[in-house]
Amino acid sequence: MDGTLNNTILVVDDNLELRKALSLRLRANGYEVLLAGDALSATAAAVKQEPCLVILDLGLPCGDGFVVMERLQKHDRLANVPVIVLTGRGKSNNLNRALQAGAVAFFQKPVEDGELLLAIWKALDTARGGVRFKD
Amino acid sequence: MRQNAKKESTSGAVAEPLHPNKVRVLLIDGSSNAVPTLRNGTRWGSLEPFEVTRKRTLAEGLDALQSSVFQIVLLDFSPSSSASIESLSETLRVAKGLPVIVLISEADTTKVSEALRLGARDYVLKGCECDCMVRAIKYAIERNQLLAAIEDGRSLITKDREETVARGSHALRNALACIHQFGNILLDGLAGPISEEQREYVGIMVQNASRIRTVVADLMDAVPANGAEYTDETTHVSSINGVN
Repeated sequence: MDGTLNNTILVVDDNLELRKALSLRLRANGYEVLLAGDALSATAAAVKQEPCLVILDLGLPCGDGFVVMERLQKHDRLANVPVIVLTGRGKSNNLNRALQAGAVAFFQKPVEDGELLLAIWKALDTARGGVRFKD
Repeated sequence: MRQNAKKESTSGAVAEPLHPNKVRVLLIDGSSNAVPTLRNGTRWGSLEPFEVTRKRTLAEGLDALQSSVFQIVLLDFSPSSSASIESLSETLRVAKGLPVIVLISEADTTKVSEALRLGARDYVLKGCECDCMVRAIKYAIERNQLLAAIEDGRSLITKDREETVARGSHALRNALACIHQFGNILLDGLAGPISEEQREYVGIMVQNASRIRTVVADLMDAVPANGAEYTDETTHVSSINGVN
């Protein structure tokens, strides 16, 4: 443990432009950003880099967002990483399912930047109840 | 024919698989000679012979319906039988879409309209000529197949429409998200300074993107997708785009 707060957010979305936009917004607010465009590379990036939070689309190539959440839950070091779902899919079929799968927040695209940043702040604040540092 | 009669008397139900060239009829009829014209081997035109399974009581008939495969049910509905509107209703429920023809005598024609309204496909006078009975059975089965095909087509159209709506909503939301995000990035100066005039125009774009988002949400509320969901079935594996 080097005492440095892990401030890296993994953004998973198959839309290249949206990944870029979210990356710009998050970096402007002081976060480091990892990007992944499908379920496989999302899991690989999470295992390798251990982000402090994941912003996750549900409609992804190579498995969907639920598959990613299931895989994260299977890793001891990732099971408690908060996941915020940001999707173009409907709420009625996905909201409860996403929350049951472990998501801490659910947004439909497009989301207001302020709302997303607040959700990120709250999720990290909760996750760092005992102030978690990157190992 | 003898073989069928023997099976019915011992097990009460015919369990062999559906014969592709036979029309399997369940006759629920307690009277002694209700349908003398329709027997095993009676032919549909010159093609398929009928295979008639006869049950004397409603309970036996419903048991047979649940344990065997039939294409049509003939239910004795004459005053001499114990059949009532309730028993027809129960038969229709257990038949699960199979056509049911009620057999009536000339004295009880007043029950016919009620039976048809409840769901009976047709009615036939007991003791009618064989041709008349065969024609009624043939029409009922063909009408049922036609209705099933129409219903299948309707379901497909509905499902297709729901999937199209879900796909359209997903695409619209993604496109709107890009306009919204990049518009705000410009407004906040994250991509460098912009003039007041540029700020005004980008602001108009972002505001209108928000309006479209509201319209999409309203449209989705008005056209419930009933579980239809857009799923990305792309199979390519893209690599991580960047580690910053």
